[in-house]
Amino acid sequence: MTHAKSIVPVFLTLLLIFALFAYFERGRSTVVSRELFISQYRGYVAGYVNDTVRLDIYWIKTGNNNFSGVFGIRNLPSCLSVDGITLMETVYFENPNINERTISVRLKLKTPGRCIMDDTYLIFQREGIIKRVPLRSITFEIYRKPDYPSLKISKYIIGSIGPEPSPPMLQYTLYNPFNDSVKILDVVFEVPGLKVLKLQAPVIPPQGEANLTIITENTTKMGEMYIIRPLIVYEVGNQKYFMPAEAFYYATIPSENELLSIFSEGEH
Amino acid sequence: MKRLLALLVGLLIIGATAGIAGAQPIGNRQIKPQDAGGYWTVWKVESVSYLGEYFDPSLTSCASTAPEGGVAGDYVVCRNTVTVSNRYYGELKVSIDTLSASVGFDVTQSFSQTAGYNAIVQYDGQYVEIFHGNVYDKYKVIQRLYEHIDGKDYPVSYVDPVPVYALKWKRFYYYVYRRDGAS
Repeated sequence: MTHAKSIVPVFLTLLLIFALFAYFERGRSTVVSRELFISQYRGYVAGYVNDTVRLDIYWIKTGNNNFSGVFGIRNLPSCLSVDGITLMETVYFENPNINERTISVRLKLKTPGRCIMDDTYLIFQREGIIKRVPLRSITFEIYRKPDYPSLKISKYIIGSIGPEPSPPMLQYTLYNPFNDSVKILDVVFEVPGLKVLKLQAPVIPPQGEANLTIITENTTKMGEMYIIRPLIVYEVGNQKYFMPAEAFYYATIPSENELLSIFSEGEH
Repeated sequence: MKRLLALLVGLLIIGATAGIAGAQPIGNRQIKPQDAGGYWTVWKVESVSYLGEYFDPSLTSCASTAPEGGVAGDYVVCRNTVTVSNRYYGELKVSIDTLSASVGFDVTQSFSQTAGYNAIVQYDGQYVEIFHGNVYDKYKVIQRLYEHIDGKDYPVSYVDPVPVYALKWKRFYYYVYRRDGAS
């Protein structure tokens, strides 16, 4: 009887330890699969008919690494067509529990003129669940390719990605293939909330190179994503020409701590 | 009476010795006429101004096609884990903690980040190389020397203010070099 009495507290203690362990283990393993799409573009794209432009959508998940699904693009304006969608990894986190895939949508510019993509979304289907991921608003200025030679872009800033917002800086190294000097007259793009703060546009000597730098500032709160493919207007002799530059991509992707905070919202 | 006198003389000697020992050498402490409340000099932060963003021009090559170029539609994939850090440059007169407090971030903090970007090969035989660089917020901090006289600090006019610059890491930027591949 004495022996049985001494077992009871030991048993209760073990039971308590087990209960506590189970409780905390449960808490630790409630890694609910959560996901975040960073997709809301603001932008301007100047380009020629048949040019392709890539739009990247960042798909970030915690809890599982299953990125399978069927993707499609809906409500695309008639001036554009989808040239392909690929899935790849481009953003890397130290925390192995956070994973990312970039859904890369290639759009072909079809018809000349100005058109606005403002109601387009990525549709994504998996296990009977359909999600719509809006792409927000991009203005396209599409031109027929002229038959005159143009400046060549040999180097440029293609993108800027990080956890903190920062007004974009665009830079292009331009090669002048003409026998006359080239004067940059203007760099055109219209993105709501962004304006040119400083334009550094030196004269490009014949057969020479120079850097064209465009420093912007935001007039409203920065958006999460931008695509800017400006139109460069330049002068050779007394003749005025224009050409689309290469596209610049901008994304603000929350830090790991911010992501964990976002993902944990609503868990409790 | 003689004993009392001897005791008084002894106490006088001890007191004088202690006074000499407690006194600071003049070389270590500047004596000023108004020195009753103490005198010293100290560097302080006078002002902090935000200079905007700084795109560090030093770039790191991350990935490229073969020298002869790639195949149209292929991607060049850049993935590079690096240590990035906040930093400062210039002549630091105040303490690092004071500088950090004045700009609102730890000017010596470093952390690991992975730069990642993919760039498409636009035509067969195009050479593509991706570089990454750092974008910082840049601050100018003016440090000024003050004299502390009789409990108050006064800026000195005989020493010029000294600037120091603090950089807060924000993000990566990616640079692409495209040309015809080497044939």
